[in-house]
Amino acid sequence: MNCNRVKETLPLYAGGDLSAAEEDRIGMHLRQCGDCRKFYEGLAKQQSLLRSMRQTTVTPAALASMRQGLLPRLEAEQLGWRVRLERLLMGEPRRPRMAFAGAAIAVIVSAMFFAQLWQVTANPTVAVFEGGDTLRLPDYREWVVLGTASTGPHSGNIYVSPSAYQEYARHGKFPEGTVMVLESKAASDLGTTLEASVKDRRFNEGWGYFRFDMTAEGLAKKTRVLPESAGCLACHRDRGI
Amino acid sequence: MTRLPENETAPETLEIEVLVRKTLAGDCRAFEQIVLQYERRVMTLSRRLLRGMDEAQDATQEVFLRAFKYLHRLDLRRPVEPWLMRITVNVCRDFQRKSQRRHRTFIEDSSTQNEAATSAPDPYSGFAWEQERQRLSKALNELPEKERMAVILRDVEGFSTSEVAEILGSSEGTVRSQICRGRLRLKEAMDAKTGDQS
Repeated sequence: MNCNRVKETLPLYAGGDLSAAEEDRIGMHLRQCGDCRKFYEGLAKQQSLLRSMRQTTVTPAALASMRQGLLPRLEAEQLGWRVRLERLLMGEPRRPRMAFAGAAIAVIVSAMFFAQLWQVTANPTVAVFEGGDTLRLPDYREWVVLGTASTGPHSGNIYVSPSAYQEYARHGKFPEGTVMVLESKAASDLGTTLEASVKDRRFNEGWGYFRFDMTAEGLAKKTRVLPESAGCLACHRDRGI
Repeated sequence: MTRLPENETAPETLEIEVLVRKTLAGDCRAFEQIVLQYERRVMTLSRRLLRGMDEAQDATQEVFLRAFKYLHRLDLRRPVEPWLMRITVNVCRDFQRKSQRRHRTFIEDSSTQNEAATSAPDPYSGFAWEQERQRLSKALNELPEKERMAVILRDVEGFSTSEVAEILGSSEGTVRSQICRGRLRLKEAMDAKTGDQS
């Protein structure tokens, strides 16, 4: 056996950190090699010296003094909300994994909640008003196409939000807040416009009518409800739509 | 040694479990019992890792405050001591960082020597032995931090390699290498001082 390799392993041998088989191999080498044996004896003595340091260096008076300072601090210790929440999730101190499972569930539920919230706020499927009667331009491009209007002053596709459409399909009635959008290009005197009708009981007969005109920057981002004098309500009432 | 059946728990473990549950239920007195059981071990290690007794006392208080706060994280199926030792090592590291000095003061200063003199008789008493021990202490203080921690925990504190790995948050293989290198460096330092090149 190579002496250099043995000397590299001897620190572990001296501390009893080798397997029985490794110890046997090293032991056999030491019986034959005086140089390695001397090296080992130095290490063995060093181990004894290190072990002798294990003797306590702490007096009972020092411990008593430490305790005297500790106990009032323990009694005054206030657990923060994070620790209290952790303990609540943990439940059983023998099963710390429960805390991780609980935390994971909380994270998933929160993520789902916020995703839902984001979906609602980022892409609302109901009317979003500013200051009571000012409607924000809806993001209708991925909504359900109800059909094409080709009568009266309008011509173009009519869109409705998927949730309102599903509600109508189930119960035959549009829910409060429903927005229908008409993408109109036919009214030549107005140019391209977007018109919307919103089901909202605040308005006369439960429906409010809006028009988003084309501006130099594109379609207006918001618009106020049209007055009854615009004739929208009367026309819709006459046509029964 | 009589082995306990697998579904049974050692009496001392049971006692700790009772104390932990009582503490978590709000019984501060139960935690005092835990302090009494482990204070010497915690303060001895703090004393070895830090500069002076005052700092060691402060560190010990901090260890038990952290243990009290995070007691619910303790896995009662495993021994308590390595968990406390791990907190001790972390607290002492924080203390060292805060003071922004590297205190390699494993060397027993005069106050410690006096304490040692009043404690149990040293089986290795003798002037030459004491001198060697002092030299070894100095050499230990000069080891790289990780090797020093590993050697103190394994050789001075007497923890097993797996326990040292758990305390230091390392793998057993890494700790074995650190211990091996640390012991070799110590030997080289001791040999250099005595002029022995074997």
